[in-house]
Amino acid sequence: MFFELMKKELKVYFSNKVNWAFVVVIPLLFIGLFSVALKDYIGADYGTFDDGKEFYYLNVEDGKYVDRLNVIIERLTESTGVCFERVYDIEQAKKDVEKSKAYGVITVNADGYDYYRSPYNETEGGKLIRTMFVEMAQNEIENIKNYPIVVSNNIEVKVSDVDSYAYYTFTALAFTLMMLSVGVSLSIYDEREHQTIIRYRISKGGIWGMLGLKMVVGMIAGAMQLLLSFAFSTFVLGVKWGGKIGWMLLLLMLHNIFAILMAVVLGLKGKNKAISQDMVFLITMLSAYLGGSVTPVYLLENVPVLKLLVKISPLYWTNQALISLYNDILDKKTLYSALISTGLALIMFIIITVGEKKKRVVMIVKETDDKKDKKEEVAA
Amino acid sequence: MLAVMKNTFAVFKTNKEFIMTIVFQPVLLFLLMSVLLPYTKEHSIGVCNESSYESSEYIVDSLNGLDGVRVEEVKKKDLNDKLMNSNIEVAVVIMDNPETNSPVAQVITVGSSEIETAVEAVVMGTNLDKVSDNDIVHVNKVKKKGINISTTLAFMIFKTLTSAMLLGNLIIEERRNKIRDRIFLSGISKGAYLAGMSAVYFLSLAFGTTLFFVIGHLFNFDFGMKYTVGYLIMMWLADLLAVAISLCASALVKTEDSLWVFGSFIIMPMALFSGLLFPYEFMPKSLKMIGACFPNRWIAKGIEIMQRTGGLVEAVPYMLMLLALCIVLFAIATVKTKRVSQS
Repeated sequence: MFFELMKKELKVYFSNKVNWAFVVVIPLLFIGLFSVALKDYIGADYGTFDDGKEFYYLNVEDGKYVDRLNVIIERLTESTGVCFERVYDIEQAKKDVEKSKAYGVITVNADGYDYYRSPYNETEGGKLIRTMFVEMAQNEIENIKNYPIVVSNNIEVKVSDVDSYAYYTFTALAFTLMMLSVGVSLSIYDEREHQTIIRYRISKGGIWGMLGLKMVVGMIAGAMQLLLSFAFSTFVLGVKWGGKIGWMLLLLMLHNIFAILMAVVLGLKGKNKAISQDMVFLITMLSAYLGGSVTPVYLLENVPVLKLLVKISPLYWTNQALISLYNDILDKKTLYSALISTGLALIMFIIITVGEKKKRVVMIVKETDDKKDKKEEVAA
Repeated sequence: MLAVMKNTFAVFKTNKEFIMTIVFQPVLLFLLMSVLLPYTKEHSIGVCNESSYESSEYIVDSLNGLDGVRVEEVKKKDLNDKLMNSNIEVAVVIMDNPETNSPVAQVITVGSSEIETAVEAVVMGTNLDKVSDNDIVHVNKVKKKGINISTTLAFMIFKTLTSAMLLGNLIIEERRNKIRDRIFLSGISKGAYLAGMSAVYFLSLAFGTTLFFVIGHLFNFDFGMKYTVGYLIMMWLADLLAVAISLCASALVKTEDSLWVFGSFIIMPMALFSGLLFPYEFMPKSLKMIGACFPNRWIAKGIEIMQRTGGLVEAVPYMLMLLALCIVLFAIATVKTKRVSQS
């Protein structure tokens, strides 16, 4: 009987093309697209000094400030790759700076320097070069040339292998696993809409029979998504899941169970289909954003408000743990992630149980009232 | 047309959700996203000063004086984690060097960083004697700016395009409930009907856009351009495009549900490739080429050009492209509506 019902549920679930898209297309699209699109960004290769140019204008042909400028030009070119160009029309040069043709214009005077930057659109590279120039220009040539501080190499740092491919394999997968729950939520709402849910409520198996079936279907879809993503990331993107793969799968499955139970709650409580769907989407998108599945989490952690907000997303904990496990580190993050997913799943379970108990009480009271009314009618 | 406009305004008045969704919700979201969207090109440096020499503070001062980078103090025990998780890109650890009786610094990165050598140059160029020629460099003063609008631009364009989907919904609803047929029976032409509703939607969207623009000015947002009105013009064009897309979509699909699918499978990918979730400039060339085909990108490109060149004229080709697309979409919507009505 169970397997017959299961077969039927699976058939219904996979007869919907949108569900197929969620299981197959969305994870591969997200993992592939995000990995490729943010490759340079994750590596912090912003092209800060790309095509960088600085103008300089000499009001005096020689003197200590001209000599100092020459040394600075050498140092800045060497350390940033920015090229310096001498200009002979200062007003035109300023206009060109405003048109982003150069970061700024340095004018060498007999008593020092003037630096002109654009009042509207100074780039990050321009800001850096300006401040580096100001810092260096205040020093004597000997200081600029002689490097008074020795740069030693006695601190060892562990090297992380997390590039955009690895990062988005895990974070986008956790995100799309959560997205899968939309199908479960809609499927439960359909049962409510067609009133079949009432039959389940009064049947021997109770509502958990039906919910269990839908949850198993969700888990099967999740497992399929996991398998596909694993194959795609391993064979196409070249991501090595490493020795802690068992822990990773465990965390992802726990996360999947929580997401499915959340979808069940929203499917049972949503006032209409669109609201149920929107709520699952909204929660998923918000969790994904705060969890670092869309924007790299370190960027979020660098924003003061977001630094605290990210912690309310269950995806944040899952993603953090997955990245640590990928780096072959089994630490508290794994424990936190497992506890949070399990805890949230339990909360959802309690919400469903309490809600269904209330509904049963209401149904029994209604049934008794109906019987009473009928008796009264017969008596009348 | 005026009658249709009045009627649409009446619909807005009776259903406050419309005004909320079209005008105020986008403005609130824009303002919220201006604060919350963290994409930035600012590099981050962690400084760990373990030196007992007073002069080590000069190195910290030099780094703090850098504009265009975020400098934070980091404890040595957190250094590894911060570098591994990319919270900082470059770490500068300052220690004692008893041999020279002066501080030494180590510049650390976990991979390659484009500012590593620049940071090294700053550290090495620090004058530990602090005998320097102060005030010999005069930098022109620039008005201090607040939040940069560039980081939220793609989101704003996306939200503008989706906000107008309500117009499509309303048109389909009126068509389904035969309200539209009654309007046509009263002698109002199809073109006037569409133009009237579009005008009200455009005015509502443009009001929201202008409101954000004014608030942006009040809060000193950084528009990154000489003539900020250029930003407003481009965003008004975005409003117009939003109305045109919505109108066209409502003429092409039959139900409100299909409109939702249209939004998800056409507007969303358009936004994705135009930099909604990740900055356009960091995308690989192939993705950029796809993005460049979408009007979202034309709007953003127009604004970027104005930011870069400081003039409005340079963005005119993009404005014309948008206008042309709007005309085409309006034409499709009108023709399709006429055909459907005739059949």
